[in-house]
Amino acid sequence: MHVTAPKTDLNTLTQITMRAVSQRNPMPVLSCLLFETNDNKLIMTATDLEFGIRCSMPVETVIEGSAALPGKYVASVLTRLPEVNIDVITDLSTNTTSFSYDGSEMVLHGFPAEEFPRFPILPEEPSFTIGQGVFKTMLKRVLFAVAHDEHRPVFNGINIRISDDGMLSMVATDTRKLAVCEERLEQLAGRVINIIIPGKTLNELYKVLESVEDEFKVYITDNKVFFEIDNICLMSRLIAGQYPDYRIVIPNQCLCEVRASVSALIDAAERAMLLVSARRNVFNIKFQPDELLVYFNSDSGRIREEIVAQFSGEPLDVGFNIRFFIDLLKSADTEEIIIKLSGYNSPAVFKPVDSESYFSILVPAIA
Amino acid sequence: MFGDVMSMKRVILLADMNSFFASCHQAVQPELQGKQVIVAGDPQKRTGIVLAASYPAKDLGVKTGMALWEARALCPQGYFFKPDYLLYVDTSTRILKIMRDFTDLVEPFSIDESFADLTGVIHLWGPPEEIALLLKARIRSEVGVLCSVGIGPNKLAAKMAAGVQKPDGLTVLETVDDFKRLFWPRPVRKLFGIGSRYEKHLRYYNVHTIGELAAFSLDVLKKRWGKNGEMLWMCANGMDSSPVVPTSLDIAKSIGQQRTLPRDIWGFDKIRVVILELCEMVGRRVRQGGYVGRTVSLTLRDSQMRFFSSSQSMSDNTDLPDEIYRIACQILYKHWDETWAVRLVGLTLSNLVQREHFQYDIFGERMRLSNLARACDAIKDRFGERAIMRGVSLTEGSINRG
Repeated sequence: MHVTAPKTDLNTLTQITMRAVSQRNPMPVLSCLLFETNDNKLIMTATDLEFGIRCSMPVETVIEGSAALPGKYVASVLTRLPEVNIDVITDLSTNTTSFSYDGSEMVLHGFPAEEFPRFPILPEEPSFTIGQGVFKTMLKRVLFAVAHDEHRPVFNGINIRISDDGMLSMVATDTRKLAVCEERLEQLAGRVINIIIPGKTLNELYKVLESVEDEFKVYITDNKVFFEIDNICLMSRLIAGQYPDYRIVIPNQCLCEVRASVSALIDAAERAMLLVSARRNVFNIKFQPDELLVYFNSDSGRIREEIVAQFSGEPLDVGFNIRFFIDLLKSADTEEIIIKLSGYNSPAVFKPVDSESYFSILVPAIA
Repeated sequence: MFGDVMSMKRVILLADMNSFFASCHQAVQPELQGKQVIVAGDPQKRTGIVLAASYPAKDLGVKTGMALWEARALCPQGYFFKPDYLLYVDTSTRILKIMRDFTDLVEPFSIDESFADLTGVIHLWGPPEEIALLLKARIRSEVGVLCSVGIGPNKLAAKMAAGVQKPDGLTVLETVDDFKRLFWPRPVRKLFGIGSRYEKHLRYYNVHTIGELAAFSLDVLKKRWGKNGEMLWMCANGMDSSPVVPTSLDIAKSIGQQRTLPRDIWGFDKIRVVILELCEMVGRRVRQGGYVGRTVSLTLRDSQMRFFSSSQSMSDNTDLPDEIYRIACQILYKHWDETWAVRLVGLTLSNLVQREHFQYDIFGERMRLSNLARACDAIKDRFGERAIMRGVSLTEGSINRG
């Protein structure tokens, strides 16, 4: 293989693909980036078989070919090379690849490229397409609620559904907090979709997506999902299993309802967070007419804050895990939020004032 | 103010019961006084080691930790007892009560040792020696066991002094200089906190006596062992500023249970049964104490006495057996092989904090488990620990069977 490309482009491509390189995999070849040429295109692939990224960019191809190089080294070498055109040349006889710049060269020892697992083939037709910005916003609203080390695998993923009338919904929960976001698709998907995508995959997708109107394509097979964003393709295994119906846990009546400023609530919670100890990480909010009373005390000190709010219903005192409370509010991009409570021990519902398309639920911590 | 505290002369007492478990049996059966009394586990259950021996038995060569058959061979006319922990706890509590008659600054250090800070009560009871004699006499007449008492200017000195004369001893160190005179010539191994490891490493530095350790370079010790090195140096110099804290044992840091199995077991199915039963016991004790914890440790020992212990933390605090069990199983699958025989299983929940809040989940699962555990607690409180148990406790390999 012999290709020529500007350092900046190579570096950008590597940084994106690197996110799928697994550092602690028993298969050493999986710590590699796979370089392949196809006409005047360089295709870079990384995967740990569960999750993978494939990117491409135009290059000047002198000799077609491929190479598997340790990702860690390629990434650090490329960040340190000068801003010039780089010649990437693979010598098959010694299985080495050299990066030549300004008459100098850096040579890396590689792995046999044919041992690198094949990137799965995408279905012919995408299952649906959607604007990048829309999808990114939806992800932001639910990603905070996804579990990381749940023993029930379905909760480590986000449930994505498309109903027959074209409503796209995302649900995430770690069983302490839950987030739901819905958006109507502009064109109908061919079929009803109900899949669970690992949270890790969607976190990476969130980083790749731009807040723009440009659309990207989503391909779904029996056990995999592919996201094709311009020259970048993310692949991920789906989580098998039945996602529980979240609707049964939403309380249908409420004892009281408040409307308060999100930033005031976050500020108060973050100040309380400063006093958190191993023993105490739950603060209380007294929901009452005229103002909310936020209070918390720990071994290190105490805090009491009054927050102006519109209130209706019965007064109620509820304890929340401070970390969860902050994460939840930060996921909502609204000025004011409505909190509906149905008891000190039942789930609290957080709804933005200006949108019907998303809401979150947080279970109180009970003394 | 700080200077005052530092310069104030403290008088600390340590009472150490002699051959405590054996003495307890002698106390309730006075005809055994002066006889060879040995407390040991049950060889049938493979816990047959000597836990305590009275002085006449010790004179014949019986040592703590010895196998029961060895002890029988050395001491054929001995009186052998199985451990009776309720008796020991009861005796210990009565002794603590006597000590608290002198001062409320009493800190239980273990089941048979307690510290008392006499500094503030000397004007009430007289000089420390008199208090010690009075205390020893009361423990002997009211409880029926002998103890060795050490008195010193700090906890360390008191603890070391109590070890000087056994049984029924009394050693008073008035100042740190007394400590130095008495202990500096002794081997470094005798210093509190020094085990065989430290002894070996210190020998490389040509440190053999406590005095040599005290004179050794603090910087070198600090570099080698950090904080612990500094601690050792302070101990060797008889310096210890730790206060007597009456509540030090009131706050548990971890709660654990372990069992030596009557037979070796193989296979995850059977090991899991024992783990689940231990989780039930640990969970119950954690709830009784009003704690929650988030770190689970699993200990396994195989028939070759190979030892394995590992721990894993969860994101949430818990007091529920099912959640402890889940983590314990994850540790088991990760580190143990099905074909290895298991002889001992231990389970501990640590990082305990007071249960002030409990985070429930959306689907009500933790609420259900929590209610179930508390309902079982109520049944056990009223009808006994065996009134209700898990179905697995009826299967082979259960530690609750028979």
